[in-house]
Amino acid sequence: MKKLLQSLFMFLLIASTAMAQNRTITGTVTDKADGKPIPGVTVRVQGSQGGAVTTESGSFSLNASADAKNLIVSYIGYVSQTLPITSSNTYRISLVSDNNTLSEIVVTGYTQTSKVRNVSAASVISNSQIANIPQPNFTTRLQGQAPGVNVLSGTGQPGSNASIRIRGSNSIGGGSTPLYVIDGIAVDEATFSTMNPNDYESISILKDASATALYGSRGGNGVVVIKTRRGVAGKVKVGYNVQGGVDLRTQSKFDMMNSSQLLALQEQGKAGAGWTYSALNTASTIPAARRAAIRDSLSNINTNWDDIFFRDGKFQQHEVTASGGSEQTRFFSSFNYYDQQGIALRSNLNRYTMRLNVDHTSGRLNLGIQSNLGWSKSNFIESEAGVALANPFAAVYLALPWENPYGPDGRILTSNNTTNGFRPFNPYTSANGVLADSRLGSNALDRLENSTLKTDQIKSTVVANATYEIYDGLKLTTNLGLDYRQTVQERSIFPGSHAGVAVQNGNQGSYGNNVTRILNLTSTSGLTYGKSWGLHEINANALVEAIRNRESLFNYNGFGINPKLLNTPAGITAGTNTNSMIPTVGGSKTEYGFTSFIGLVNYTYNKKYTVQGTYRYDGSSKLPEQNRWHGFYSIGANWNIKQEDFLSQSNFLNTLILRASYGETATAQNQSNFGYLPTYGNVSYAGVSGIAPATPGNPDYDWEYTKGLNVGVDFAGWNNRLRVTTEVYRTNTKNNFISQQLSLTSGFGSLSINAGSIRNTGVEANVSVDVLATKDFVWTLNANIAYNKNVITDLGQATEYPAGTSIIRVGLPKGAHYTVGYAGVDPATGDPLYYNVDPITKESNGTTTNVYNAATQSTAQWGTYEAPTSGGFGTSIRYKGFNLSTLFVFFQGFSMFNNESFFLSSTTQFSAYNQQTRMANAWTPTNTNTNIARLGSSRQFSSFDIEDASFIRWRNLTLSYDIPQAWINKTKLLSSARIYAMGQNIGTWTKWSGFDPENNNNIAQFKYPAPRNFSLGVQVNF
Amino acid sequence: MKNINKIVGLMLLTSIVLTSCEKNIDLKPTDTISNETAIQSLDDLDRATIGAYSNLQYQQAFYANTIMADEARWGIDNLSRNFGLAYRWDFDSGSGDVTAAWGTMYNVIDRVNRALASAENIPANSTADVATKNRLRGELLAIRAMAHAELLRWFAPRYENDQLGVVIMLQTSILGKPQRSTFAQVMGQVNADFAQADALIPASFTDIFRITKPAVAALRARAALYAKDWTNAVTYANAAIAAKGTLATGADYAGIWTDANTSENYFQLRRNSNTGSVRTYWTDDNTDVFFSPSYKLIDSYNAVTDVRYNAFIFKDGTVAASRESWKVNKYSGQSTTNRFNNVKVIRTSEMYLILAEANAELNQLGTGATALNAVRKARITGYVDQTFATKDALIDAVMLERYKELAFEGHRFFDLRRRQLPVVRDDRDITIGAAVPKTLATTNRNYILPIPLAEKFANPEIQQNPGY
Repeated sequence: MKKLLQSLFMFLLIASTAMAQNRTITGTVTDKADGKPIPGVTVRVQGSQGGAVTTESGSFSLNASADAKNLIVSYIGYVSQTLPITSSNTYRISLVSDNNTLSEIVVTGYTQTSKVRNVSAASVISNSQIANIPQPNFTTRLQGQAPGVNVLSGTGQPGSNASIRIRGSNSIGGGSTPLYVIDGIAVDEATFSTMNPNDYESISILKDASATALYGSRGGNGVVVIKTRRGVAGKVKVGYNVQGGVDLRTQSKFDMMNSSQLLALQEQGKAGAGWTYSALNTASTIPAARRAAIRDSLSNINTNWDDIFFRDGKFQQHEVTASGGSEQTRFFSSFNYYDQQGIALRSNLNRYTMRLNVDHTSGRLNLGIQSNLGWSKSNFIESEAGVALANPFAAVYLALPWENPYGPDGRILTSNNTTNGFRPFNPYTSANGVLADSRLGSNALDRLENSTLKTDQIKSTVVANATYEIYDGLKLTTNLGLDYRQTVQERSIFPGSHAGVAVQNGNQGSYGNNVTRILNLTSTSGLTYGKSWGLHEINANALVEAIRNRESLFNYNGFGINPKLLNTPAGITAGTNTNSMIPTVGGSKTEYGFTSFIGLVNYTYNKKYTVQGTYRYDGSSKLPEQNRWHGFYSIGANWNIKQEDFLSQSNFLNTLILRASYGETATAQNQSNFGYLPTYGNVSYAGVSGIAPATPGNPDYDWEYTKGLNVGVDFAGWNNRLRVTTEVYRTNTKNNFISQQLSLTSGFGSLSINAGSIRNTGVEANVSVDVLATKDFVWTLNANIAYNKNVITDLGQATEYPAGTSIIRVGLPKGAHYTVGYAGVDPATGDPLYYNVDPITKESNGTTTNVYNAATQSTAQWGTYEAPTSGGFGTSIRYKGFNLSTLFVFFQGFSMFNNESFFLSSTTQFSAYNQQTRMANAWTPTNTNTNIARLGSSRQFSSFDIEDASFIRWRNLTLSYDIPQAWINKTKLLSSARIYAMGQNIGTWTKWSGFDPENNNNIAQFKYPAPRNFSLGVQVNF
Repeated sequence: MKNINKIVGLMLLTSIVLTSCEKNIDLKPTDTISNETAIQSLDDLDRATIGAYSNLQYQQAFYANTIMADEARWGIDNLSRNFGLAYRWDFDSGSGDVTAAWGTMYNVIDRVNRALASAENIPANSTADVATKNRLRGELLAIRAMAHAELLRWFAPRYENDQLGVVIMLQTSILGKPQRSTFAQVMGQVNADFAQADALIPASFTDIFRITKPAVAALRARAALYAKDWTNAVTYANAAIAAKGTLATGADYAGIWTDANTSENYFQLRRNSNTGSVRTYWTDDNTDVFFSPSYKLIDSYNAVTDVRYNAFIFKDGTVAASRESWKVNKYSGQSTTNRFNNVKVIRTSEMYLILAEANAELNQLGTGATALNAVRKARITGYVDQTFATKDALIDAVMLERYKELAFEGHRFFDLRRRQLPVVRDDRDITIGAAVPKTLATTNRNYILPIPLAEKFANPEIQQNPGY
């Protein structure tokens, strides 16, 4: 009996000990700096799979076995802690904020690494740097934020897109567009106008080969990896952000003549209204008194075309965000309405976007969905960035100052005076008065008001991902993305207007649509492995990726519009073979695919030495079979010098890391889908269909390969108050597509062959200094600068060749201007003089001539349009709740062709167009010492029109104030509130005399300039 | 929980299966025809021939010839946007307006050469098929001959046998950098191609939108005239007139210019769209007049008796005094809505004029005068036949008649160059527009048209015309 009881007791004891194996551990996590609880912190037992996430109040609770040794507490932006588990079940943990660069997470191609173990050159930009900037397009907001990343903004029109160039041009014929990846799937640069940049949590710009080689054939121009905002566990937080402002015109520097000045110029040049009504015009049949009267009337009219075509644009933005969730499921959603009017009549952008991101964790499984839907509607001006009289930015300066667009009844009088079934537009007869102009401005104004150019874009992206941890550190992952975009461009010209009558088929306007539909499917799956033991830490990925992209285009244009049914296809008249209004129809379908195998291994020893190797084997449908598959590799190394014994005790030095990497990538986005095939296409002989050769074909079609070496240093010191990153790199691209000019006897003008080589060498630096850093007051100065030297090193069997107004020649940078040198004016005759060129040295030999010959006199001594030096600098000051930050951007060392001055400073077209005031200084027999040639002498393209366009622009000034918590708490409804004011493009300092020195190509052709914007906003969180 | 795992497992499996498919990247284009399969049947050959016709931009000759000569005057409404440099004889080899024909014609020749090469392998068994294949080959050869002849008209510095000609292309060569042959060599090839075409095209083929047997004879006559081969010019012109030789008179003549009447047309290029029609080179759709008929041309006609005056020239009384009222009426459209016309490449009256000039050169003044009188009689009511005492008098009369008959049809500038005569404009014609020069001397650089700058860049060894 006793023995039975004893054994029972023993059993119970053992049993109870066994039960006592599991315990519940609870606690709170707070921020050491201010004691505030931190939600969303991951707390887990070392070695176990599961874990807990802290709630809104910072508390957590998790199950642990009795032999659990350590708790690991980690959160982005804070130093991770490992604390031993004692007999206590409750823990109060305070995390130290990690303000220095060490804590930054770099998203580098399919993985994330911390900056300590990062071997590549990557710039990380956070949401706070780009949120709420009143430029709807994401790429323009990046200007000046990262060294080596240049935004090329071809237009300031809202709804249009800007391109990015990273570390100079890698391609001679193709583009420099990098690859954009959002949540793992590639996105087209042209769709950023329909997406909301406030949704982006972090943006990593990958610049060197070890990061971009993971993107294989598409990483050659750099990669911009964007991660969208995710939910944070805790009570649901709702935020509302409203912002409103105004877009203002910038000052133009053209200095145009007024009516009396232009009349005097025309009188001097003996052409135009100034001469027709001049007292000196003895051959005139108009009596002298009448001439004087008309001339006097004209000189008193000074139409302000600026006010007619332009306006101050209004801007407003509303955004509602909600985020929250439990430890298992978290969500983030946002809804944004964006409305911006441009500074030119008719241009605007309206955009609605929605996003829903959900993350779910349960045990070993992590699921996520990131979805967004956007719809944008933009209206554009006519003939943007074109030398066309319909372009309001051209008409505004070219129109004569005495041209008054409105007739006595308030209607616009255009140059069209035929009836064509409608009332005449210009009932001027000699009884009514004199028409002394060509109605240039009126025609453009009428066209702007009586036609539309709209783009309607729907964009939807859905990405689903899952990660399943099979085994200690080994995970199975999959990422599936679907990206759909539909763009409808609607072009409508109203009948009965000046533009409508000019429509050649039917003279009654036109209505047409251009529809583009693109569907992109991406699937990336594979295994990832991450483990650390002892002194070793290893990360490895093995993935398989497949991408398929389908594009279909369709367009139609109908004529004979019914004036009661505008802007709809219902108004189109059916075409017959006698009414010449047969509608035009066209379209195309195309697709491409990629299949890839990706491998990455990253090994760190003793937290000091990291080595990384990647290999990606890409196959693409864009190449002929023999060149279809290619492998892209990279190796990189990172030496965390601070961890070394001789430095680890240093107090001044906080971080010192040396990185180096080398690898190969390509730029597949520059290939056309089936460019390698020789083909015949459909042609029409006035309605009878025939076939004719369309492309000559190239069986050796291959990728453009880029090999790059990058060495970088990260340094932080003085208590992390001084942070410096520098990179030095050299990139060689070979197999560049060059347009080999063919003899026209072949039937083709050019053929794309892979033969060129181009090299970029450069230095980048990013410096950030906290000049003063106290609890209440922080003053930071930051600056970044990049210098890139671009040189074309080989053009294969092709000779040099012209590309627009530039020349592609070995030894010169890609954007070298090529034109005849202007040598001033011959004081004896007033003829313009040009430099003669020695055909052997291809440089001017000092002598001049007045005969213009572009073929023999053009040289490349006029600089380049791709700026070698660029960067930004600024400062930010934080005092209690106030925050002031400002950013300047600068571009140095480039020049552009000012095509605007070809018309506005013209010795032959002063009778037709208004001129700049400097033309008053034209050569006359009494005014011989001048740079402006004699009126009537021929006007050709020369270096007279090339101007230095280097500029410094005050990009942004933001002042914000966080309402003090005490006042917020009184409202009982809000949890935080912030007021902010922003100014964008406040001022520009430049010698460039055109509209806007910020451009994406070599020539300035009346492009829509970037506006100045001032706005005010309020952000509240509930 | 289990279900979720199953779903995830399935997702992963499917994605891996999808991704390993090589089919993902083995794609073919849907919108283009591959070279190997493009021309395999007679139907395909016909389409390839139509492809060649579709790019015969013969109207390029119209405006270059008119603007560079004395047929047209700058219109008051022309804001120096169009052809200013060509009009003022101030262009260099970079000017696209005067050099575009080089690229267009060689593109047509390349289409012909590829079609001819593929034609070798096309099976033709029945007699009907053999006849069709021969006709198509004949048309292709005629197109090639016409294109080479056009190139000579444009770019040979002088129309003499020992002068520089153009490049002869008889097969496709994408990367070639050929040299120019002599004028005589090119003419030899032109004549050989025309001779073969004449043999292959049956007389029963009568579609004037394509090249027929009479058209071949007519084009041969024109080529012989430029080669100064007077005997052959007479032979071919007679052959063409024998096939189709009635000159239109009175109202019928005006009908040629509205496309209502095709009795004089040997060969015309079909057009069906207002976009890019010949009319827009003279007058814009918004009624701005770029070029008007010159006063010199207007005065050359008798406004009352000459049917050509109203057919070619229109004085618009409805426009404001400050705008241009003289308008070119030739090629002004088929109707008020169809404001385009078919491009007439060669007509019967040109044959008579060739006869007149060639006979004059052969000292057959009587025969020559008969031909000239025939044209004048058809155009001028109450015309009395004229006789000519000397060869020079007849030739001057023929040149004047060509000026009046073939105005705005792409002949004037090349005719003056054939005869090495300077272009002299009337004083009244140079007052409008900035700095218009009056005379283009035969020694002036711009009297000869340059090879395009793009050709010289791609093919540096090619001989450029003198002065450029």
